[in-house]
Amino acid sequence: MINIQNLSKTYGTATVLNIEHLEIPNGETFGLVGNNGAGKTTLFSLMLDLIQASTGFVSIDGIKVNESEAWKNKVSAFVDDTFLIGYLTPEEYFYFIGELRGQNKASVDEFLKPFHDFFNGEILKSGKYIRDLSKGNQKKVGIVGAIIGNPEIIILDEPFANLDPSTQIKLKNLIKELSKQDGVTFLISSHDLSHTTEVCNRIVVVNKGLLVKDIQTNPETLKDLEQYFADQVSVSDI
Amino acid sequence: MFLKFLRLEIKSFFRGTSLGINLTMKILRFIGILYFIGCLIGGAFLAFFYIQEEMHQNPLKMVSKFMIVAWIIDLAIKYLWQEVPTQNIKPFLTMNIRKNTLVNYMLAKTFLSAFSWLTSLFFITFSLIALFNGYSIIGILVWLIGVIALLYLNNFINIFFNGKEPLAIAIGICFVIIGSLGYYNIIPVLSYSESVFLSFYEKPYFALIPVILFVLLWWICFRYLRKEFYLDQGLEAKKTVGKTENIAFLNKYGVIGTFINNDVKMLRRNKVTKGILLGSVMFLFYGLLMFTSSLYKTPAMMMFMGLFVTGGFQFLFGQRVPAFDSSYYPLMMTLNVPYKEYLKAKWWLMNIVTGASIIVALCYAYFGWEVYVTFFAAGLYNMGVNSQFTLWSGAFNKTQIDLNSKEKRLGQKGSFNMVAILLLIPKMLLPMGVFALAKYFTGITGGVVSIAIIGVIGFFMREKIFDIIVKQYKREKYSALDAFKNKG
Repeated sequence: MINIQNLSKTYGTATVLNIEHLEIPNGETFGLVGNNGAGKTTLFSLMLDLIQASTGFVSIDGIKVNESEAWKNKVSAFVDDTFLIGYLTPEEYFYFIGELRGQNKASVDEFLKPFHDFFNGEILKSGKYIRDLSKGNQKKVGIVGAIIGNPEIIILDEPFANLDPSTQIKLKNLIKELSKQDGVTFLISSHDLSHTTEVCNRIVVVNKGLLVKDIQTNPETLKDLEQYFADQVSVSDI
Repeated sequence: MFLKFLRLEIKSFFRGTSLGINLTMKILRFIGILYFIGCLIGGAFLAFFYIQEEMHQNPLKMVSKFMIVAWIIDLAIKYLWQEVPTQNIKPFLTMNIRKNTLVNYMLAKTFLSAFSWLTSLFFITFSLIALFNGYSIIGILVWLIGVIALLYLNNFINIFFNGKEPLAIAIGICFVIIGSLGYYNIIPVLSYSESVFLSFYEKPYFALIPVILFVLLWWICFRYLRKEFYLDQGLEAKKTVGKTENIAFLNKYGVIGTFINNDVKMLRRNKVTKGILLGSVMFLFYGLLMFTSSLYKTPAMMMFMGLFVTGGFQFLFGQRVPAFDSSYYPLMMTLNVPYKEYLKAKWWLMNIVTGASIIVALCYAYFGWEVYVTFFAAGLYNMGVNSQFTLWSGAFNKTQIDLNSKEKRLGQKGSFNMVAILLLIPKMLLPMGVFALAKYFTGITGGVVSIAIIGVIGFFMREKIFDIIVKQYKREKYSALDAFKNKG
């Protein structure tokens, strides 16, 4: 379970994130939506202890992330291309991550088998380093890398962006399957409302650093969200 | 149009790397550039007056004589470090600018690189001095134009060579052969150079040759680039075929083995790290300096050389330890590996290479066993003590390193910091002092043993020291993550 208390992040006088309380129980597929600059990536970075909170804390299973490193056993993430090692081939990258998560070469190979379809034959044995792959293929490598080694919590920042339509569908199925079968907790941010409502069972909307909506997904959710963002547009003058 | 481009260049120069660098750094960088300029201008004065007053030779003749050497070195430097600026041309491709203009812009851009204009400073200053000392105005002017045209010719030659390694190596070998023929006076290369370059001064119309060559090569280069001015041809960033490989026996060592495996790949596959490897090999020859001056034969200096001979890789690699991982530091910080293991892997890698250097340094036994045992003790000190200190100073080095780009802007070296300089005391001065004193009082055995003992103590204290370093790294974690985001 992820627990957030009085969490805020301030740069100078600008507060970019301020969340009083948020709890994410195990097994939840948690969607984070909001416009650019709403604080989505800031929130994920705070959860991963990549930036320091101004006040408050994030704790994962009762361990504050900035005090102990024990959470690293449970969490994996793909936020952006700084999570990729450009000079490795995709296979080497998977072995590297796998070995650090207690797998070996053979078990990583076994794990990768079902993904041949997902990779569309362009990634494994392509004879390319990750730095030379296209943006979309890099993203696929990063996402699959985050799944290796059975992490309990997987954080994905904008996983649908840059992916082709078929892969978006495959990714949605993958997320659903992992959360149903293995009880993996997913934290996903996205600009795509329909994808998010389809895979997530809870959706939180942030705006200018504040938590403005917290919805358990139901058939009306997509409409609600579309309405909310449409209102945002009409409120602010274009 | 070119004025607009020039304005962009100026902006990129002042803005590109200044992100994340504070004012002191900027001032230091500025001083660094001034220092270089000063060196070159001072060098011109020195060259002129030393040759004239001390050697009683004609300075122009002398400089002309060694011009061929300067020209080859210039070409080599440009080939090794200067990259054809293909990448930042991309945004202009779809703008309302004629392609011919863009190609010329790209060619002109190579002249703005520090490698190009710094050498010109030397020759301009030199010519000015010559003018004030009674050389003919036209002669000197023409000589200068000829020399600079020839040096700038290298920019074009470099463009042809780029990515054609076999050709470059073949030409390199030719140069070495010609050089040795000249060295052993089989072919008087230097006097050929003298007569060719001096003829620019004596018979000004000869200088037309380099100018014509310059214009001709510009034209050929222009045609060459214009034909390939497409994203998937000339403008494509060079890709190498990726090969999945693995040093299997390292897998036995768990996380540390995994990390070392990864670092070996990093060192082999990136341009910046290849430079580090080359530098480390050069340091092995550092001990040969002892033949240049008796100054190096004192015990303290012998120790100094020993530290560099055995620790070249360690110094170059260790102080960039988190910086080399800067492009994927967030990944490193979220993987389930304790900091200590990460650092230990780096420590082992450095010490394996230091160990290998100690073995290679056996060649120095040729100059006497005393030299070698000194170097051997220095190696032990490097392994036991300096490996930790170097990692420590690395924590303060927060320069984002783009692993796969060749060219660095002048003065971009952000690794300068107070801590790194303070750490030089235990790293260099302490062993030098101890060795000199112990040798003075108890002879060579005492000196070597005392250094070795300190090294071994450091080696066994490593767990304790690691804990301190880990604390330091944790304290610097957030600011390092933030600084690494600023791409150069």
